[in-house]
Amino acid sequence: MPARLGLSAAFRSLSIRTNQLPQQQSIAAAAAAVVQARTYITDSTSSSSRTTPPRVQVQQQQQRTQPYSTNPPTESTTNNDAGVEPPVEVTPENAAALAQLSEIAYGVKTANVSLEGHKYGLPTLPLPSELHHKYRYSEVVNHATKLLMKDGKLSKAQRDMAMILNYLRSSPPPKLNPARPLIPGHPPASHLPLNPVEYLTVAIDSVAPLIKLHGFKGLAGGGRSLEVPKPIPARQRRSTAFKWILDVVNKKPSKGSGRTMFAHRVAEEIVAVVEGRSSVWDKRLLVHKQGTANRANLNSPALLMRGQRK
Amino acid sequence: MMASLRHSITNALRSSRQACNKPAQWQSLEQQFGALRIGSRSLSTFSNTEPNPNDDSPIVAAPPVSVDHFKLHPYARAVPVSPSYFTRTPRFYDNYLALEKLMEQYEELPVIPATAVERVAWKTLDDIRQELGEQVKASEFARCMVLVKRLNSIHPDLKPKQVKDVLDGFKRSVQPFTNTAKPIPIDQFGRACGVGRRKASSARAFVVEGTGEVLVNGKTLAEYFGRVHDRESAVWALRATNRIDKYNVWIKVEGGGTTGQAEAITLAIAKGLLAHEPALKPALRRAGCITRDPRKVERKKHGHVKARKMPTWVKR
Amino acid sequence: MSASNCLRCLVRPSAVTLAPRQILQAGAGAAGAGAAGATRTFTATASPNNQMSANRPQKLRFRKVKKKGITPQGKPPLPGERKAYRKKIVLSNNNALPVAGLETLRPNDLSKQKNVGTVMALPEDVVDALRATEAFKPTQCWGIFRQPSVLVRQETVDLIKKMDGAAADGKTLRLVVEGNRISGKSLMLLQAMTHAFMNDWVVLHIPEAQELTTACTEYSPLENSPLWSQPVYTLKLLQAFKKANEKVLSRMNTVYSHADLPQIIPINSPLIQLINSAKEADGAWAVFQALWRELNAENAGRPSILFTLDGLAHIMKMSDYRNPAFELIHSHDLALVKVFTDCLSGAHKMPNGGAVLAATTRGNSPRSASMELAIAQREAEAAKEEVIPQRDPYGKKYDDRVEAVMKSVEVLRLKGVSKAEARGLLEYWAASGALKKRVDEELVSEKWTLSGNGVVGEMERATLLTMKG
Repeated sequence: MPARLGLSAAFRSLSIRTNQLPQQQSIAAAAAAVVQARTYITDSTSSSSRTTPPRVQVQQQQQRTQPYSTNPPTESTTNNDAGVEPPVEVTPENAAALAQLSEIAYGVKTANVSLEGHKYGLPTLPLPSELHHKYRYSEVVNHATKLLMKDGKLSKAQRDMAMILNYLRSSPPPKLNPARPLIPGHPPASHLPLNPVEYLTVAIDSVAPLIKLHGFKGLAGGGRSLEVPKPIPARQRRSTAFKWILDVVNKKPSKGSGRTMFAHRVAEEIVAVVEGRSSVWDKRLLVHKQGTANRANLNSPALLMRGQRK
Repeated sequence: MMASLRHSITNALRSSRQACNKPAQWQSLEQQFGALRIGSRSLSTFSNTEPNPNDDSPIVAAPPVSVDHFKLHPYARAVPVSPSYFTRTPRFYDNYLALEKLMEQYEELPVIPATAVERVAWKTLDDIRQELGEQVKASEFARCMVLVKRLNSIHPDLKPKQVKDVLDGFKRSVQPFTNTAKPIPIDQFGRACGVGRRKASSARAFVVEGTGEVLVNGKTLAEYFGRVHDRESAVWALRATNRIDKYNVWIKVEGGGTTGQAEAITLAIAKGLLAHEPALKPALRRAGCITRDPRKVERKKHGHVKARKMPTWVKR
Repeated sequence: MSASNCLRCLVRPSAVTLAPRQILQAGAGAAGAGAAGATRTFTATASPNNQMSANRPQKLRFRKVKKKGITPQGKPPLPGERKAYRKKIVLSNNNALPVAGLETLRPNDLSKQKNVGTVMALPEDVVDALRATEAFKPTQCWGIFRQPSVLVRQETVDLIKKMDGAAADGKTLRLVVEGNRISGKSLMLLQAMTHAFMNDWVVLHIPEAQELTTACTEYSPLENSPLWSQPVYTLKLLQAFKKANEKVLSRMNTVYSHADLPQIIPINSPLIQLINSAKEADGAWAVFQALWRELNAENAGRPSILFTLDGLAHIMKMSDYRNPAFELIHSHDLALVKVFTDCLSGAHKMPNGGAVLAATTRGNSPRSASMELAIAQREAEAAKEEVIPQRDPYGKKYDDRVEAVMKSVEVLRLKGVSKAEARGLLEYWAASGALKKRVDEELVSEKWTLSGNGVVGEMERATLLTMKG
């Protein structure tokens, strides 16, 4: 157990008060007369008058050098090299903060909850996204899990996904095929098994098609549909790629038996994708070829007419 | 104001009717009056606060006319009670004109920033349509609400009573924003009891400072939830704020399935934790722990097999 | 339709389908001998379809639903191949990072208090021996790490100390390892075996008690005895025993003469030769008896024996075997099981000392009311509680033989590990690259809580078998 000290909290309460002094002297004092009248009305909904009590400056330096000293005033005067020596008055608030500090130094008392609103320090905001309970898994993993799911059985799909990742973790580093280049910027093959999530991401993103063919019914004449290539967004690309992988997996017979088999077949296919052996690559190539062949259809008069009518 | 104006005009018109000698003119005037009287309930504007004798029944005979107030108008012409009489939505326009007038009058008053204005539940377009019995246009209603909100942002100390009265007419009778959550007390043993619900489950979590032991219905987390995902969900509030080893939690949960129970516990623990450390609220909000998930099972409908599913089509 | 029984010989037509095809064909032609009546009925029911089909109105034909699925490619797997793949045990992963400072176990390490909370690697020869005894299980996560290693728990040290103490006094430690699901019961046996192998004990391990009692291996009655032997399993056990204990056995010679074996073994011949004489399942039980007698020989410088069994509940009930009267055979009437239960109950004393350990299981384990009661009673006695649990007066499922066996055993109940031990485990996982987080106080307590106060297997599930990678 770490010590339950609200040390930072105590410091903050001290430093907030000390930092207000220069503002008050220079800007605040000058602008006070002008601003006060307006702020009185506009800023606060409650009509309580703000009386600012005189604050005391305790040097920052003193905090840094002697945070745990029991008698700070004597120490601070010796360390201070500022030419202007501000008068050291101790307001009740500052005294409370100092007392709190010294108590913390002795480990007597924890942070004051009523003052600070917390006991063990606050987490730094904004929280990383994996600390939101809906986004705790990596985006790709979550997406792929949902695609693995059958009959709404999410927990089974999650177990399968965990087994897939474990298979990838313990499989030997893939031998990359230069004819089937992976997505640019992928980590070297030897690093992939150490990071199975990355492995899966690289595999899916690499075979993901860039386009899909949109068939406009009857526009090509003679009742044929006009195939028009269309770029697809990232999420849809991943969906398509993973569905292709699952299609291949569902046609493969499994080697063994038992509940790990589906997961192992998927994992084997992912390894095959990264190594360039999978038939998913052919599918991708086919779609891209068709898209290239049909790109003239983008300017098809029938399509343009259709657009105008709408 | 409008009401008094209307009264004086009708009075004047009635008196003129009494005094009139010319039968031909009288005829036409009477027709006009008839139109006015019948339509007056739906068309003329008067505020609801003022009791009106004509309010209860649609057609009431005119009160007996006192001859003392008899005064002859220079000419007897039927003047509509309201300037917006000939518009589509006269009562709404009367309100709008009143707002505009107030706006002109009090434009100079200082306003407070939008964030500082107390939240008010205004009447919706449907409410206004229902109340006035007029088909108010959405765009016009929106413009009206701009004025209302602008007037409402006048500094509360300086807001005239007149403005307040008019604005009250636009407020819903039930104001949900005046509700304040009851603070969760910490009892003599240092426990704070948070309640959370999700789907059909409800959970009560007693959060107390400790060393990270969690009991759900008397079992440990691993015994109660077979799925690690659910266990993580249950203690997410503590996990996201790095406080798993600082609190013990004793939980009673009932109803629903495992996922619902786990996420009900999330909310319950988060609330209990907030009672101990209120400053954690922004962090817990971002961790998704203090939002009640309102989704529930959709009810079954008649004619459907389930909520949406239709019976299969059968030929004959 | 024909009657469900053949009206002449009362043989069910379904029984006929089991007869060889030739007979059926013969029956269709000329009347054969034996089951001719039955076969005739069978053919009579089968043939009219062809003759009368012309007279019948045409049947409504529903389109056959085409079965979607995998069209088999290549040759189908051989029998047992798929199971072998399922049961495959991988003990190392070359991708995992080698852990710096990981110590290999030495003979006395498991009994040292200072090693509690550290993870230590198993020596290679011990790994081979453990593999031969099937101490590793496919559900355990050995395949994630570079080298099989175990966490030394407080319970481990306690158990090993007890074992050592008993062996030194020439006594037998009789103990049941009990605990919740995946709380490390089988691994506790594995650690005990590791210690035994390292200290030159003889280890006999029955990895799955259910293989003995669920009637999946052959059995035969023993002559002049109410017991039943399981020759095939015994042979398998003997071979595993030989493979695992080769080092110790090679130093031992027989002290008795065994005349009734398939192969005559003279006195003072190597013990390995005795085991090798069991080549067929038929003689395996006799060889096992002879071996057991040899191992328990007094004053022959025999090593201590560790006899372990996993899945205790399976041998504490009626087995699924039946005797000629078609009554169920009690598990304790199986000869091999009886050897174990005799040791566990203390009826058979091991003269050279040793330990008899049994672990219960929670997955796929039958309920045995008497065993549960006995364990509860032994625990209550050990804790010196005032109220000892008694039989439910209305309960009918109690078994006196089981309670007699478990009259005086010790019980070791496994619970969660402490936070210090959890930290050692997590640090090892992090060093192996399986856990990609900084191991600090918060992580340790998080995993400790998520695993139900430190249940080891749950900690593994919550940390290694997740989608977080």
